Amino acid sequence: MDPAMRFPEPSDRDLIDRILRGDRPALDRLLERHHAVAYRVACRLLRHEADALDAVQDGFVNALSHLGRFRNQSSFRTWLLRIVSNAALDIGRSKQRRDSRFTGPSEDFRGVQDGRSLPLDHALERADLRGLLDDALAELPPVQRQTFVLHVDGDLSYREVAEALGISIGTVMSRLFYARQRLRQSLAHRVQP
Amino acid sequence: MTPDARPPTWKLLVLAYVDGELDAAKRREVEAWIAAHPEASELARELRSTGKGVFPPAPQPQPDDLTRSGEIILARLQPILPQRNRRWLRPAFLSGTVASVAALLYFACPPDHVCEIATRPTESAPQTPVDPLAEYDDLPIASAGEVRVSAIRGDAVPIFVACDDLLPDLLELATAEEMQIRRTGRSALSMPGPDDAPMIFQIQTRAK
Repeated sequence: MDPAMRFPEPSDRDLIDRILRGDRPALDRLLERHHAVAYRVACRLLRHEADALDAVQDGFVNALSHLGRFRNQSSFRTWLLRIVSNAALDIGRSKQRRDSRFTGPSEDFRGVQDGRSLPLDHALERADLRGLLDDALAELPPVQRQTFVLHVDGDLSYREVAEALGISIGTVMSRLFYARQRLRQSLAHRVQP
Repeated sequence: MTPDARPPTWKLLVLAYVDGELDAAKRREVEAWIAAHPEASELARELRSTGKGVFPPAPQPQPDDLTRSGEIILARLQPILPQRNRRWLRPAFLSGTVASVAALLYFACPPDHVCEIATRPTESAPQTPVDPLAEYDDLPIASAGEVRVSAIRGDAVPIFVACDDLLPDLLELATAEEMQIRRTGRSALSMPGPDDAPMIFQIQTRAK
């Protein structure tokens, strides 16, 4: 018999129940399933890998600590990405306040010298394009940026983004529409000689 | 969607089409409509240039990050985990126990029981794409928590006072003297609950 048939993949809910009973392998499995997408979302919002890891860890801890608010709602992934993206925006806001207090508001996250900032010299063209997108994204209002990143990097559908943010699908669509219009204009402006 | 008519939400329909959010029937309908309208084709091209898969993906975590995150998360979860179960977290005890239980399950689990477990649907089952607009007669533009609707007494025309990311090119604020409602949605004048969304109103210039 196929081993996959003997040991079917447990659902997120099964894993969460096991984690709350202290099962470390269940936590590892849940992390394997959702850590990468949560990290991508946080990294796009924060543009800093160490901060993104903090946001992901905050997100997992908060999601698992407040499961009463999650049950009978959306999927765990949607719930997690909501919390991670909110944590990332909070970290970004507090970092911006800190930076503006000590170093002035113009510091670019990509220039942080701790060895964990985004690579500038690796795959230059892709990094350039990623940098352009990140710069353009940074100019969007936070709600549009969060909606865009959840849809594009979190790979959530309109309905899932609406569930994650507690807004209507119409609002998701209008935010995506204007975010992309502004991104297109901003990118066109940046690549012009 | 008739071939010649331009629905008030056409830009959002093009967006949903480009993002693959429509079901097959709606997709074909919108596709035909876009093909017949150059401005819609142009908008579709623009929206594709900023859609999924166009930009380089955000960085992936390093392999060590997963392990480190697991350790940190588990340590932070300790206060909420049941006291009696914390000893399960000791790695040596855990790995030995998991291996033993797995071996027992593998050899002892009756086939019928295994099949019953195997057929249970999981959360990751693929979902059929649905039309996100199908359930709406008119497109809700915001939830009640996001906008405030007020009505003018007398020749009552509801006025939207809304956040800045609504649809200014579809809905322009106007005074009751200038405009009147031609057709209203199902929650035009009141929003009984927090999940009831105000509708887009089709308005027209009031006759002088």
